[in-house]
Amino acid sequence: MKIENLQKGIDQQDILQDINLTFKQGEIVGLIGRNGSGKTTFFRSLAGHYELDQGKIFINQEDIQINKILRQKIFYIDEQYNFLSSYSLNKLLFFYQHAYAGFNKEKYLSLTKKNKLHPHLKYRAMSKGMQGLYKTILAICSNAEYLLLDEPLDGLDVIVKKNVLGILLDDVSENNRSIIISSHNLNELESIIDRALILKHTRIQLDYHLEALRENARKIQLVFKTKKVPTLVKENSQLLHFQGRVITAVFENYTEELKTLIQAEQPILFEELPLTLEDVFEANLANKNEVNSLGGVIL
Amino acid sequence: MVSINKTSSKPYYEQLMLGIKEDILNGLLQSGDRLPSVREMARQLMMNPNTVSKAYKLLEAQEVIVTVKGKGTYVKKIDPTLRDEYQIQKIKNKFNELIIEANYLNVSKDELTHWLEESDQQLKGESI
Repeated sequence: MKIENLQKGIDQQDILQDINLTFKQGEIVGLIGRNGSGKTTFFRSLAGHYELDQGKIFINQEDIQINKILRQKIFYIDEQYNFLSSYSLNKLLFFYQHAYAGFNKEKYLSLTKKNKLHPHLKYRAMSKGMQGLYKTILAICSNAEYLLLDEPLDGLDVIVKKNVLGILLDDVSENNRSIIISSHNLNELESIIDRALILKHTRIQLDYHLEALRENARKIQLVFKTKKVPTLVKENSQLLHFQGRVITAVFENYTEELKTLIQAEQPILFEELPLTLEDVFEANLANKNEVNSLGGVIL
Repeated sequence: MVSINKTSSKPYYEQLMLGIKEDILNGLLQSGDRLPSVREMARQLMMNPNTVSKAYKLLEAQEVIVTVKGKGTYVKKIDPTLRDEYQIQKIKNKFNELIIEANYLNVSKDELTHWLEESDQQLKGESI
């Protein structure tokens, strides 16, 4: 799927701007942003629930706004506005079978049976966890190529969460689907996604491939003799915080050469700390706003 | 058993490779043993299947494991006479770097030797 220059505003307010992205098959992508950052708007725009103000979306080089049958390749259930609640699972199966030509009924039946989701059960009579599980089952059984999952783990207990993740992971290893998961919880997603997109201020601010990031980035605590931070450090890192003389910084492209150069500045303390995704995002996002005020402190 | 440390600066696929090698060295996995499939392993570790698959492919290239189409992935027989000179050279380089760091921190040669014996013992000790 290729998204070109997508733009969407609601009530004269820009929600999404300049979105240019490509999703590959077999990829699990995390869409990360705070509440109100536009994650749901992004999904609704892709799924065709909203008309785009600008931009195009292609699947296999075909424009999905023109060839509407391509919508079958996208699965999305709106969290707020959906029709599920008053129907029984049996009825929902019937609907989804008609909506998605490639619907895998066998898999649906075996998964619902395994998880004790009875066909006569009403959707609204199920617990939140059960609903979450059921939506995941619908998603993978639809056989759509692109699954857009809006906070699929939100509000689920640990056991259901593991179950949902397990179903998704099984599915990606078997089928070449791409799964786009939105969340505001980085820790939850850290081990399962290939790629993280950070949505902030109406734009995709960052696009990381996580294994590369883990390989190249380091979080380092430093203390120098003088209060001045060497320019070398300032140029190559994002400063997380200061505590007196102690500087904690994230170096996104950490190399042996850089290490030698830093050591040449003779720091009193030089220690690598465990780096989590959250550090990287905090470093980047905080810096965008506060670069000036931080700069003042350094000098 | 293999586990992933989220706070380590090592990429997950490297951690997985190292974990499997460790299991082989201390006898938890023996030649001919079947490894969990990519899918099973991904589920066990709650990890992205692409990452597991990358680790498996690299291990296969290093001739640590072998995949038989339609059957599964197995631990390869270790040939005691076979040495991969390229990989050995790479390890030696890493070792050199370690020595430099250690010297810088005033670690004596005796201490280093002691560490070497300790690690060796740990590997062998666990297999008994």
